[in-house]
Amino acid sequence: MTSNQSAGTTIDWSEGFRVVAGHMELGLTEASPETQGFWDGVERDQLMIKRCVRCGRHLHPRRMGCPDCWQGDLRWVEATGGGTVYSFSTVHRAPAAVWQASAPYCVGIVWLDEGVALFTRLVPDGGGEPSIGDRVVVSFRALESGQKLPVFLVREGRS
Amino acid sequence: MSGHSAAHGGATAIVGSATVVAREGDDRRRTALELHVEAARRAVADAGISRSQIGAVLTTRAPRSYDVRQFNMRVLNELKVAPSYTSEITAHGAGALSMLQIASMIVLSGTVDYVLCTSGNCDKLWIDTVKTNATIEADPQFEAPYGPSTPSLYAQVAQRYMHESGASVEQFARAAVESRRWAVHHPDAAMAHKGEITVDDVLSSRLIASPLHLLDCAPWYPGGNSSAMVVTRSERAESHRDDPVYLLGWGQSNTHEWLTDRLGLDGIAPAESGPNLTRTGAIAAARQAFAMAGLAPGDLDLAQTSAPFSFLVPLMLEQIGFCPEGEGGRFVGGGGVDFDGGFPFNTSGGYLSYGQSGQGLYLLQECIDQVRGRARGRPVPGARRALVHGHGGPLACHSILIVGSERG
Ligand SMILES: [Zn+2]
Repeated sequence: MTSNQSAGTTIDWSEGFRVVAGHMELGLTEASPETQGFWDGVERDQLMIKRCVRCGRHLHPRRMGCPDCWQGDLRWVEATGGGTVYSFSTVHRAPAAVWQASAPYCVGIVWLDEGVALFTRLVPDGGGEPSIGDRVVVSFRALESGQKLPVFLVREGRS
Repeated sequence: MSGHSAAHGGATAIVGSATVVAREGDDRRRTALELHVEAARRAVADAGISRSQIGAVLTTRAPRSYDVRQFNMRVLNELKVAPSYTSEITAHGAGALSMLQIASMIVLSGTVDYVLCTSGNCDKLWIDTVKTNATIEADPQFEAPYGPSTPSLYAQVAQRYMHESGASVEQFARAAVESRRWAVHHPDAAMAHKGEITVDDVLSSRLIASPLHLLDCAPWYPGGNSSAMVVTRSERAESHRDDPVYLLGWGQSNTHEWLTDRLGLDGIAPAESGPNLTRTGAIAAARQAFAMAGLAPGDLDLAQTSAPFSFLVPLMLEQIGFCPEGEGGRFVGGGGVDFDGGFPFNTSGGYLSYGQSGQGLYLLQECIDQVRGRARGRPVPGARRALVHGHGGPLACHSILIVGSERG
């Protein structure tokens, strides 16, 4: 996988974010009308998620409509940025050279305090591996591809 | 299942089957299309029917190494058939077994008599399977930019499984060890020539994505394979061969595309009790299959599961019902699927040691060979009934078939 972004640059989402794997160019890699607000938030160091105006449920930023009530419009709300480690894995063999230079690194799933699961990069305090249940707080940084992304800093000790 | 369903266990049968294997180093590098076509010709010949009797042709989705928009139409034209019905059946890696179930529904409708199903690929001969697979299993926008490998996505489930059930890496390693022992006896198994391994070998192999070591992970098949099957109603099958393999029961469950979508699922099976990663659709698929077959796990002589990582052996064993939920690790650790004396499980070596080729029916072919008493590897003496499980996506789509050499 490669990207057309270089480290430290501001991403122009109007051009999309190209993801190539072998001879294939993969779809749905770019901000769409449903996800633009998330990436605009990342630019401002804000973690934006969706919320149903009718039933009030918080939802993953990729959702287009409310899968629960099927009726409510969604609006963007800023998450507190706090949550817990739901699961994790330290990658030793990366899927491509762009990441292998950083290996080992930890990818995982965070349960936001709002009840939404996000896949992310976990940055353990002082290295090592996190534990399920550890508290996390959002941070923003450019990862290996040059893309600025929300990551989560791990604070040891369960909530 | 609705009460008046005609899809009762044993109503349909596989009347012809064939599997074609390609290996790295073959004289000629063969394409997935070529393998599908050769398997199809052989399966139709094995069924003893003419091509004009084929009422429907189903294929798995276009292999990544042969990425055309309507792969099924390419197969049709190579065979010079023009059936009434055709489609690619796609539910990730579960699609191949789903195809047999849909073929059964088609012939039970009475609309056509014979459905030809083709499956398989040989991606490893043509593309970088590690790189491309990682980008298919993760959401390209919200997950892939973090650099997950395919093992690291499945490892999210493994970590939860260990956390929730107390299963251990030693128990996972045991599954890899026993798979290798079956593979050593199978002429097509990728790891047959590597010999047996120990739990220590697994745990001292390098970490790929914690907690998974190299030997906890299935190798991509060094080549590829294609299997084709002809499905018809059982009475028709019996009219032209005395050893059809009956489809006794089947089930499916499809829950998500991405792991974080799975965690948005609650209130419906298999997440009735709240969001989770570990109660997979295999639970629901197995329940449906056993109900249709009127059988229980104890009635089976052997089983195959799509377990690309060692922890999935105990997880699938418990979810299909071979031991109580939460007990898979202890079941495997206690010798439950030992090559010597355990329940015959992944008898061709499983993905872990046969190798993973994806979108195929090679695990079903192993079941067919075993219940017909024609195993290519180590036979299970007296085997009559077998279960095969397929899954795809990151544990997203699950499909199960129970087959047998006897109709009831
Ligand atoms: Zn709603």
